[in-house]
Amino acid sequence: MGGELHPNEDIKARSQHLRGTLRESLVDPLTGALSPDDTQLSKFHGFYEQDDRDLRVERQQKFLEPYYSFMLRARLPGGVCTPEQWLAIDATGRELANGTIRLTTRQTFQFHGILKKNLKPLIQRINQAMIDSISGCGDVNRNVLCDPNPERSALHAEVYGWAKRIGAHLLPKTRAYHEIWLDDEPVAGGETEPLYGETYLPRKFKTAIAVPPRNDVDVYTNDLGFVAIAEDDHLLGFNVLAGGGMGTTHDDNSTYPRLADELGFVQLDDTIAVAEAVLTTQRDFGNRESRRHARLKYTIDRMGLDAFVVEVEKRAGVRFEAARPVQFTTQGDQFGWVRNADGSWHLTLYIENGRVEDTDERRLMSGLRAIAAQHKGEFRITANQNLIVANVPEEEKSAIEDLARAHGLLADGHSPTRLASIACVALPTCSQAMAESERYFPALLDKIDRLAADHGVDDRAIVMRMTGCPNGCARPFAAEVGLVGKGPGRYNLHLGGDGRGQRIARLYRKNLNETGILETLDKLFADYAEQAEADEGFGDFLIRAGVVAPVKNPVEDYHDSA
Amino acid sequence: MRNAANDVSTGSDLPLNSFQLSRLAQAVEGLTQDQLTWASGYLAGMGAARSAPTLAPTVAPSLTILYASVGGNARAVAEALAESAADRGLAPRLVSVDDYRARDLAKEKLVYVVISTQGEGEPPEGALELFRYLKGKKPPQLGELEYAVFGLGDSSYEFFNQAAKDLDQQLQDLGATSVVDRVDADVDYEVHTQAWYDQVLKIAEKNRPADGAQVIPLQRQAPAVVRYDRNHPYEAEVVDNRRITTDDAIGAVHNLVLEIDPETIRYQPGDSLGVLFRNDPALVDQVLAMTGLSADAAVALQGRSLELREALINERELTQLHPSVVNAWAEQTGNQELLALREDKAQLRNFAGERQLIDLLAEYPGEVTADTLVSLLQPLQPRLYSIASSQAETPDEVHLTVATVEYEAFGREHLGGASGHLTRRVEPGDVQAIYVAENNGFRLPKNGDAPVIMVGAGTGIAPFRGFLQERAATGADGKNWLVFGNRHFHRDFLYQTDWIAHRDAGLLHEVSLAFSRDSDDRPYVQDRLRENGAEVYRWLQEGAHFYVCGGLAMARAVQDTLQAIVETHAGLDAAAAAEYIEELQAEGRYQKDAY
Repeated sequence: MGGELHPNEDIKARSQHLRGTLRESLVDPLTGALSPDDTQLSKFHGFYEQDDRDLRVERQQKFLEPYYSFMLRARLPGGVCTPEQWLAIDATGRELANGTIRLTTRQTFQFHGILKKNLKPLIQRINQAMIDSISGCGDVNRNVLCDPNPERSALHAEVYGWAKRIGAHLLPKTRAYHEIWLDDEPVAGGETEPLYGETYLPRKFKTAIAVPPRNDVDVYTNDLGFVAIAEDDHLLGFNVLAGGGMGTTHDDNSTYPRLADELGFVQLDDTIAVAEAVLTTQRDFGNRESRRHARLKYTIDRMGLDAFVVEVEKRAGVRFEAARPVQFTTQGDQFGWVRNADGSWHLTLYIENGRVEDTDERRLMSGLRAIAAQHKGEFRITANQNLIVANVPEEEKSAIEDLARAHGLLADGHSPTRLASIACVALPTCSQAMAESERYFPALLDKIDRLAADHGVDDRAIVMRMTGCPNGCARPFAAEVGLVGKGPGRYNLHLGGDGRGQRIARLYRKNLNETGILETLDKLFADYAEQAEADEGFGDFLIRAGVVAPVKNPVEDYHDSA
Repeated sequence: MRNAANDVSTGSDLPLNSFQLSRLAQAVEGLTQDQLTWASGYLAGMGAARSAPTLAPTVAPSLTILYASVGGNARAVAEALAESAADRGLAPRLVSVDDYRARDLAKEKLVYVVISTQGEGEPPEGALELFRYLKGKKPPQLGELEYAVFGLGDSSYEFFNQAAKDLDQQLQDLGATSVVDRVDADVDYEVHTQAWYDQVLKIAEKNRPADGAQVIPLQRQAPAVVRYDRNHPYEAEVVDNRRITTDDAIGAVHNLVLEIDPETIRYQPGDSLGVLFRNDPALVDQVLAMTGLSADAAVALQGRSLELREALINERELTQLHPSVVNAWAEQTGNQELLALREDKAQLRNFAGERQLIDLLAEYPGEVTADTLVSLLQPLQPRLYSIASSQAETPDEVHLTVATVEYEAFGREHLGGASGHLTRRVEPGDVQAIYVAENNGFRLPKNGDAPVIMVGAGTGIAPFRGFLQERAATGADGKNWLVFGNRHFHRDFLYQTDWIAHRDAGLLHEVSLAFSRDSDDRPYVQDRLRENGAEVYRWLQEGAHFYVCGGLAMARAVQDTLQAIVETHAGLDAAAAAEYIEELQAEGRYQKDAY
């Protein structure tokens, strides 16, 4: 610190509250791209510029610019949408994007392959369905996650309400989105950005709410986390967490993944004030010089947790009570039918890597469309990129199940490990990707499934997560087995997460190719099969067996050798 | 600034009169320093060779050979005529119509004109001024003038030799006397040249001034720059040949890079490159199979004996079916249907235009000998491609933009002759025979500050790549506006990264694009012009030069749109708008390269 501000800070400051020259960029006929500055601002409107990296070199040789397109991520608090909204999402994906829908680890959906000329029509389409993409990405609070836990319906409704409230409170106030995309008239007399100021946050800011004992939102990996404390399905307040984050940079030991610290318990009435105080503390204390050190996790480690808590309490006018004891049991989703307290049913579908599309093997997109056409309840996207058909009355159950089965949407027949595992998008569209992820992970899992079967551990669910780069969208550093792309066909292997999202996985081997990954797992599976205690998870076993030492405080011990 | 020639014409004691002075000025215009030095020596030597120190009374030369060329053929014919004339001791003045002052025509005694016709029956751009002058309000009296016209055309076009016909008629209307009937030569024009030379030169010899002493030999031994032409092509090495449309694009377009010696080969943006090519051996084998002729049958061509297969590959036109070939085949086969075609020229042209030789042979089979086949076919013609580079940017390279002509018809695949050769069979490292075909009717404004509007569709964008390279290299400050159309933004936006770089460098000020298959309303370049009509007109009023390159239909549509724009935004009626556009043309501010 004390150096020069990152160039993005200037772009934000000059942007007139995120307007920049987006309008001009949109109508520039010469290129399918935006101006470089606008590519930074577009994120706040929910979309990233990408290009088809498979085609980059070939097109360059043809005097053609890269095949630019855009990825748009919607804002969908708690991942909840209606069947009508799903039908709109589906039609939009088919007509204005690349024909697929991607469910994400942020409990929302993304469209890929949107051409520049289709951006505005697409944004208008989803807004007609009452869905926007404000703060889908960018240096602001993003889509707020909320446990989609089906069993306790009343509690879910209450927690979901808080997810929406927090998200709404932390939205930027600029009307740029409405003016540029929805043709709203400019606001007379200008506007202010009271919460964010002219330069917004130093970096992205993620918020989630978990309902114990399920940690399917991976609440500890968020900048700001809330753990619901309830009594008899009645919400009392939250344990507040801060400072989680996955993103790292390869071979830069000043970066590390980190799980959020517990700040303490707050009453419901103080929830919004605390959320705002954590966000503004990060706004004012976060590093604006180096984006790789700009997340809240580094701010807290630099300030010290105690000083950070004092600052938050001061800003919120709140004293944290001691955190209430909680216990988490799983990071994964609960597939199949679950009956709710009110007698209705939820069906959790398995969507491999969250990619909703029709292939020769499975017609997931058509299937969901068919279900949406007759379902009267709601859909909930999970943070594991799956989809819940929620609130199905008893009499609709079999019809929904028939459709799901006919279109390959059920979890049946997949190994427990596959069902617990996720991968990010990576190649060919993600500009960060160093290696394949979504396109490759299923084939690797086939081989890992066979290994597990060979060793007789195929009945165990091991949380495996793959990303194409160390930014960690699929939260690989919170997995039992994390595979982080290093280069084409090469991955760093991380081990030792606890399967509940409460322990960081340590780097175990660098730069493994597929053979190296499989040989390593082969040995470890053999030991696991032989030495594991009953119901002992793979990650816990690796720690107990001393294969890797647990990460206790990443700022100090993450880069220690395994 | 006052004209130097005017300065000296009144009361000066200079030995040259204004006509001579202006001709001298014209003759040396555009010469480089070296050329001027050489010319001054040449003139001094000429003077020294004469016995009399005093000059004879000045008169216009006994013979002027005027050419109006598009691809260089007319110039080649005119040059050969000038050489023959010199061989006979005549002292003709050889001049391109671009450099010719129209009103001098009234002072001429004997003029031989070699003129080619463009696609729509128009004369070459450089001749427009002359045509306007002849048709103008104060046309010259040409009662003293004797002339002959040699026209170069292609009878597969509707307006065959129209420019030659128009000129011939116009000269007659103004009182001039045609001394030899006009020749309307077809693509095989070379078969007509020698006879015409003999005829017209015989007359010129008769008209020679009585003192016969004034024989000025052309600079036969002069160390002139080696000139490469269709008969003496330059052998360039192909250094790159890559497809620049995507695999899913509707057509394949290649960018070819040929290496040239910059000392020997000079071209200007706007010029075309003549490309010699060989027919596809596979096509020749099909022809052989259809006719049942043997590949090694001996045939005689221009006194040489060749094997039939070789002759068909290297010497004869197979892909562009000429109407004359259809006629010859009709006679050869006696087929009534084909014979009937001769009655209707338009029908015959269409018939030939839709087919290649292979289609004719398949549809109307007949017996033929190897010699007859070869003699009824036209000689293989080089093809002209607009050059897509500037020597200011790449002195030792010439770039071409070549679309593969490829389609299915009559149940078989068809491939263009030259485009198939260039895009399918030529590889880096190969030698390609070429020559520069000057196109003075398609030139950047001399004034670098003048704005430029460039309208191109498909490979019609080629010359504009050279234009912008040239303007970048020469630091021309004028605004540039590119209007380009093709099918798909992502698939065939030719040279996209070049345009982006020019824009980012501040050289390209406006870009209008029309990708017809990307949206339901199927936009074309003329639609973009119409939408921006007010701006187009504003640029024209600011002195913009307007260029169009591409297919004939597109050029026609652009012309109609330009007419509508001028009517709308200048508030002129149709006739006045047409006049406005003619004025642009006359000023060289509206130039077309349509094919």
